[in-house]
Amino acid sequence: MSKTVLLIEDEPNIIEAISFILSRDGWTVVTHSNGHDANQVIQAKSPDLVILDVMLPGKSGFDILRDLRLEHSSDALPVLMLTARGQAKDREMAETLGVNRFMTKPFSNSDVREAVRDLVQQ
Amino acid sequence: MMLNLLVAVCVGYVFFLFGIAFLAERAAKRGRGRWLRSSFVYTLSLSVYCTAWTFYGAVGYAARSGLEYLTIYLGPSLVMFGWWWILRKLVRVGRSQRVTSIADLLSSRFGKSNLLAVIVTILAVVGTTPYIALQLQSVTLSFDVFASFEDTTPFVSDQAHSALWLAAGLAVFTIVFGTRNLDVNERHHGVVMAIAVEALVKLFALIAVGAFVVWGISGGVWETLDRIDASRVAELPMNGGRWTAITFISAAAFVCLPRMFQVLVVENEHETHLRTASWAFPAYVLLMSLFVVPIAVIGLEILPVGSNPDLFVLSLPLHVGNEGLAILSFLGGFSSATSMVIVASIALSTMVSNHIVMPLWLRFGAGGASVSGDVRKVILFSRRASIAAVLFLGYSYFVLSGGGSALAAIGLVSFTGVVQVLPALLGGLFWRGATRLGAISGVLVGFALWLYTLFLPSLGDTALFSNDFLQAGPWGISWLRPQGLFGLSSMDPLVHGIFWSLSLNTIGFVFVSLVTFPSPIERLQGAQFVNVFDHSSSAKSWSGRVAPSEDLMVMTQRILGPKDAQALFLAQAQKQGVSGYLPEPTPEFLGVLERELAGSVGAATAHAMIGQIVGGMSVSVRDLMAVADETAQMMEYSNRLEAQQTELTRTARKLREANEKLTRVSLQKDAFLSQISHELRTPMTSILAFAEILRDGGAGPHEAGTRYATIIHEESLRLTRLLDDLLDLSVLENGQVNLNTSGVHLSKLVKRSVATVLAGAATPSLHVDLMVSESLPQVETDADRLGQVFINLVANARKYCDATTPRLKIVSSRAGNFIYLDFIDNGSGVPKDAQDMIFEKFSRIGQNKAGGAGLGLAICREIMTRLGGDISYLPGQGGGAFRVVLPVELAL
Amino acid sequence: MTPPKGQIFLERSNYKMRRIVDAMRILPFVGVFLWVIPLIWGSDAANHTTSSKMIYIFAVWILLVAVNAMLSYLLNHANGGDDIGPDV
Repeated sequence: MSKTVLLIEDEPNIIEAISFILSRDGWTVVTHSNGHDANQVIQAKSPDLVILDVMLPGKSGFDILRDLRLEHSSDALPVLMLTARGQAKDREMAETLGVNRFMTKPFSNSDVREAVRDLVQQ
Repeated sequence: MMLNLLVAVCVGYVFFLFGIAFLAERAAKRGRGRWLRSSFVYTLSLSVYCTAWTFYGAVGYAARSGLEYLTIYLGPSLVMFGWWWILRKLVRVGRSQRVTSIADLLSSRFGKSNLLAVIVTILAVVGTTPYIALQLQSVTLSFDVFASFEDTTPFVSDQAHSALWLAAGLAVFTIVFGTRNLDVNERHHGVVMAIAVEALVKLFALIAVGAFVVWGISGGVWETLDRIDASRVAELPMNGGRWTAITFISAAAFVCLPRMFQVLVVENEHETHLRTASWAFPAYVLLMSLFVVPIAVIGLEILPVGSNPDLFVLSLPLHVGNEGLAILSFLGGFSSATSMVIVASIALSTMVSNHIVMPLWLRFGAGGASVSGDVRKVILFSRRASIAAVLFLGYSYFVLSGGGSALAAIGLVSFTGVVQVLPALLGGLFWRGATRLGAISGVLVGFALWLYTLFLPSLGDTALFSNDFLQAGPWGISWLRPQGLFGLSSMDPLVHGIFWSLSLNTIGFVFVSLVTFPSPIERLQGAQFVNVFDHSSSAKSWSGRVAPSEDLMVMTQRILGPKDAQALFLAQAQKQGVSGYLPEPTPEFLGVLERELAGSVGAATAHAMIGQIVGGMSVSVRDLMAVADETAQMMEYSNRLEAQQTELTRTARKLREANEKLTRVSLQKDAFLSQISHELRTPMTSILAFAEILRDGGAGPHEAGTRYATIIHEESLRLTRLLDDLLDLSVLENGQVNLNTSGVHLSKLVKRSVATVLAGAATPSLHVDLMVSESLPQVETDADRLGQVFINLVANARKYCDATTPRLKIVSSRAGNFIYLDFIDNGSGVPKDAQDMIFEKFSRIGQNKAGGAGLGLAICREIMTRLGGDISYLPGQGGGAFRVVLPVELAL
Repeated sequence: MTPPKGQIFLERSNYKMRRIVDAMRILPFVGVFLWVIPLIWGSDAANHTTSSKMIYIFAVWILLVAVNAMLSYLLNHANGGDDIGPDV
C-alpha cells in the first residue's frame, strides 16, 4: 500500500512534472489546483504528505497552512512548501506557520524526491 | 454819582486790559516775552475755570447748600494733582498733533473725522451758550446792585442793554486779540496775559472781601467759625451722592470744557508748566474758596432778609458802606465774567470756523484749495464772524430766558453737557480699540440724554417741557419721566441726569467700538495717541505719489502767509537736500505740512485740503505698514510669523507626502520585484523539471519525451514573452520609445486587431460586434502601438469574459477633438474595488489563469499616454468595458 | 550692545525720579480717600461741626498742595526739568 502525496498547485506544467517524478518513485499522487477548497480536500484525501504552492487562486498557501495547523488532528501531517517567492521573509512566514520543509522554485527533481522521502518516513 | 464812577472804572479797566494785551503781543513779537511763557502765567490762565458763576455764585451756593460748593473746586484740584495720568498725555498729544480745540482732538484721534468734530462743536456750543449768558447776567446784576444802593437812574436803561454793550465790547476785544494771527504755534499771548492779570484781580478782590468780612465785620477767625456753626448753613446736610457726582462732573468738566481745553492744551507753551500748575492751580482755587462760607454766613446774618445770596460779595461791602471794596469786588466779578467769555468765544469760534464754516467753504466755495482766493482772509473772517455769532447767541439766550433764576441753575447742567465728550476723550487717549463710530454713538447718546434729563427741564415751564410733562412723563409713561428714567425717581435730578447720560454714553461708546472695525487711518491715529510717549512724531499718513509741490506751496502761502510758508518749504527742502523752495512731496514732508496747517485750520480741514491736492484721501494698508509705528511693526511681525508658520506647515506636508510616496514606491518596488521573481521562476521551474527528466532518460515512451520537450519549448516562449513585455514597459516608462506615425484608418486597424486575436483559436470563442464608424477621420498616430493596445483589449475579453456566450462590442464615438473607442464585453466586468488597480503592473483580473504576467494593461496605458490619449475603465456598461481616447491630431 | 528697552537696573537718580513719579501718581487717590472721610462722618453735628469739616477739608487741601509742590521741586532737580521718558 503506497503512500499518498497531495499536490496543491495551479500551474499545469508543474503539476505534470511533479506527478511524473513522484509516481515513478512509487508514490500515489493526488492533485488539486485551487486554493479555496484545499483544506477540505486535505481532510477528504487524508494524504501522508502535502506539497503546497503559495500563489494559488482563491486562497494562498500560507492561509491553507495556517488553517491546517489549527486543526489538531493534522498536527502530524508533514507539509512541503514549494514557492516561486523565494524571499527570506516568505520562508520565515512559512516556518512560523509550521511548515516541515520549504523549497524555492525552480528546484532540482532529486531534491524534491529526497525531501518527500524524508518527510514521509519520519 | 456812584454808578458813573463805576462805569468810569469799568471803562478804565477795559483799557488797561487792552493795554496789557497789546504790550504782551508786542513783547512776544520782539522775542522778549520770556516772562510771558512762565509757568505762573500758565497757571493763572487756568483760572478761567473760575467764572462769575463761581466768583459770585459760590457764596450763594454755600448759603443754599453749605459746603457742597467746595466740590466745584475739589474736582479740578484732583485732576491737577493727578496730572501725570491724564493731563500730561493730553498736552503731549495736543502738542504733537497741533490740536486747535477739543473737537479737533477727537476728530484727529478718530480718523480725522469731520462728522465727529461737527457733533462735538454743536455740543460745545449748546453747552456753552447758556454759560456765556450767565456771565452777561452776572455783570448786569452787579450793575443793578449798585443802582439799588443809589437811587439814581442807571447809566444803562435796562439789563438787556447793558448786556448788549458788554457783549459788543467783549467781541471787539476777542476779535482784536484772539484772531490777530492764525498760527496757533504763536498762541494768543495778549489774551493769555490779560486773563492772567484778571485772575490776579479776581483773587485779590475775593480775598479782600473775605478778609474784610472775617476781620472787619466778624471780628476774627474764631468768632467767624463760631458764627458759622451757629448759622443755618451749618444745619444743611451733606448729600453724599451729590457730593461725589459734582466732584466728578467738575473734575471732568475741567478737562472737557472748550475754554479749559483752550488754556490747558492749546495755549500750553511747555509741558513743564503743567508740573508747576499741578500744585499752584489747586492752591489758587483753595484761596478762591477760602472765604466763601464766611461771606455767606455773615451775609445771611446782617443783610436784610430776601437779599440775593448770589450777590453777597457785592452787597456786603456796600451794606457796610465800604464803596472802594465794593468796586474792587465788582472788578473781580467783571474779570471773572469777561475772561470766561473771551476764552470760551475764542475756543468756540475756532471750532465753528474749522469744523463747520471751512469745510462748507471748501465744498461750496471757490472750488478747491489750490485754485481759489486768499484762504487766510477767509479763515480770519470766519473766525471773527464766529466770535460775533457765539457772543450774539449768548446774548440772545440771556434775553430770551429772561435772565431769571433759571439761569443760575445752568452752571452744573452746562458742565454735564460738555462732559459728554469725556468717554470718547479718555477712550481715545488710552484705548486703541476705540473707534470713530463708537465715539460718535457715545457722544450722541450722552448728548440726547443730557438734553432730555437736564437741559430741557432746566429751562423751566416751557411749552415743550411743561411741569405736567415733567411730573407724568411723555404720554403719561411714568418710567420715561425726564427726571425719573426707568423708575429712578428718588434720585436728585442732577445726579440722575449725570448718571444716565454718562453711563449710557460710555456703554454706547464701548459697545459700538467693540463691534465696529476702524479704518487704517483711525488705527494709525489711535496708535499715535495711545502710545504718544513712545514716539512723539506725528502721523506720516501721506503717500507722496503725485503731489505737486508747487500747488502745495500756493495753498500753504494762503494759509500761513507767504513768508512763513516759504520759510517752511525752504527748511524742508534743505532737510531733504533739495535746492530751492520745493521739497519732494515725501510722506514726511506732507506730514509736517499737514501739522502746520492743522495749527491754523484744524486737523480734519488740513487733511482735506492736502487731500485735494495730493489726491486720494485714504491711507492704504501698505502706507500704514510703512509707517514706523508700533502697530505696523507688530502687524508686520505677526504677519511674517504667520507666513513662516504657513510655509513650515506646507513644507511639513510636502515632506510627509514625499515620505508617503517613497514608502509607497518602495513597497511597490518590493512587490514588483517579488512579482517578477514569481513570474520568472514559474516557467523556469517547469523547464528545469522536464529538462532533468529528459536528461535522466526516465521519460519513458517516446511520445512522453516529445511532450515534455514541447512543454519546455512553450515555457521558454512564455519566459521570452515576459521578458519582452518587461522590456517594452521599461522603454515606455522611460520615454525612450520612438513613434512611427502615419495616417491610420481606425476601423481598419480595429478589424485587423480583432482578426489577429481570433486567428489562433480553432473555433471562435468570442463573438465581436464591430460598430466602428467608417467615417472616422484618419488619425495621425503609431499604428503598431495602437494596434498593440487593441489586441490586448480584445485578447483580454477573450481570456477573461466569463459569459456563456462571450460577446465583445467595439463602439466608436467622437467628442470634439477626441475619438472614443469603447470595448465592451458581456462578462461580469471588473469588480469595483479592483477597477483602479487593473492598470497597475502585475495586476490580474481573477487569479493566475494562464497567459500574461499582468503587464498588458499597464503597457496599454503607457502607450496611450505616449500617443496623447488615454485608456480607462468604463464602469456601468453591463460588463467589462474599456474606453480608449485618441486625439484627432497627435500633439507631439 | 544696546541696552534693552526696559532696563532692570537704573542709575540712582533715575531710580529716585521714578519713585517721585510714583508718588505723584498716587497723590490724587490719597486726595480722594481723605476727602471722602467727611462724608462718612455724616450729619453728626455734635462731634463734627461744619466749621471742623471745613477746616479738615482745607487742611487736606493745603497738605496735598504742599506735597505736590515738593514733589514737583524734586522732579525738577532730579532730571533737570526736561523730558521724563516713556510712561512705564
